[in-house]
Amino acid sequence: MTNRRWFPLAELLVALVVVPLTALHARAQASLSEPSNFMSLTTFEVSAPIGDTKKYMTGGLGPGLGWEGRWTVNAHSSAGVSLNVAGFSRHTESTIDFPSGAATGDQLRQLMPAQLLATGYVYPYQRNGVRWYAGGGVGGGHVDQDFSLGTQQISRGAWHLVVAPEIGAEVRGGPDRLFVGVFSLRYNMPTASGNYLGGGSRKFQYLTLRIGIGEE
Amino acid sequence: MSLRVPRRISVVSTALLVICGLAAACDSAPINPDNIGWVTTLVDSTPPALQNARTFAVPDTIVALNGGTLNHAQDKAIAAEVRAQFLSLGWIEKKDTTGVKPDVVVVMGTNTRTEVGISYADWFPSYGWIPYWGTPADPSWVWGAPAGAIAYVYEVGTLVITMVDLRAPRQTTKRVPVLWVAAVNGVLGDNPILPRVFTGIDQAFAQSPYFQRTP
Repeated sequence: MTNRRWFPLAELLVALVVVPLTALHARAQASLSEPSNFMSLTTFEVSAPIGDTKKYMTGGLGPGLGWEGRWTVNAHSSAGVSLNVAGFSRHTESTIDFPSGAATGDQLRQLMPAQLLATGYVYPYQRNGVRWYAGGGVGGGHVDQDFSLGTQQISRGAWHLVVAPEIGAEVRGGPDRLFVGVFSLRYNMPTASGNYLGGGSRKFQYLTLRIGIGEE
Repeated sequence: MSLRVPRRISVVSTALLVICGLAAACDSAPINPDNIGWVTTLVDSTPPALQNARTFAVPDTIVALNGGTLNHAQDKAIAAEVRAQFLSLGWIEKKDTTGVKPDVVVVMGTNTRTEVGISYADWFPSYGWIPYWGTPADPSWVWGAPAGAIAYVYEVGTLVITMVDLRAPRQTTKRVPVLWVAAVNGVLGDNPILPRVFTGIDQAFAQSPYFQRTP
């Protein structure tokens, strides 16, 4: 086989690499000269446990993180996707009774819900650069449940359907109003599912305060 | 339109994301230098033999399991603490190894390596000397853990207190009739701190209310 036989293949490979890159670059250039209809948000979250989730929090709030993309549908609505992870933990030192015995000492209970939602919002009111909105998301989520008993760790997990109504506000500022700050309250309502430690299915609901910063 | 502002936002966002991620990931594991370690007790859930037992014996030696070695300086003090617990609960001690034997013998050992599960490795060679037993057990015997016993990780230095029923037939079944096991995790090192050991022993009995006997 000579090198000459590879030339058409090499040209094809170059084309496959260069053409998409060129297209992407052109699209990026175009997007800089036009108003964007896409907003990328990084959200920092604190969540208050509700219901079963309270057993996994000593008190206070659980930290969380998220990313959200919002596409403008029209002047009064947007649609997007939201990916979020939250964490709850409770550290106790007490006795647990089992049918065949008991154990005393440090216990760490942890919950880590992660969810991917399709979101939709309406913006009924806007004033002084603040757009108020209401809406929410629907999607799926997975909850990891960990129970550490001394050096022993037992884990369970399950998938849930999640509905998450939300209200909030978008604040724009800075040069060309590219800064976007989002403050919102989201009620995460997974459906009951799984076979968790402690017996049976659980909902593991929580209320999340989201503070997002991003760009448009 | 400048790209500088969005980039700055991205950098700040990413930095905060990383910081928050690390903060969330670093939730402390249960470490408390002052605590006694873990105390677990395993008991058969349907123990008429345990309910009927009233007399006991506690040998003075703590056996080093797994073929390891142990500083025996504190053995008698620890055995005395276990003995005192039984006496305070209304049990009667019988030290006689030749006449009427006690209902149960309470033997103690300590892991010299980490054990996972409910078994006690090298038990038979270590306890072959125990009085009250009669014909020694051998490795062909089955260690009878309490029904429903929970697998666990036993750290080095775990004090394992085991109650064996001397009334149950064992030569034919070749099964060591265990009624109760307590494990105080990781309290016995080269220089055991007795208050921690005693606290663990006390907790083991506190979480075993079925030991209470009326005088």
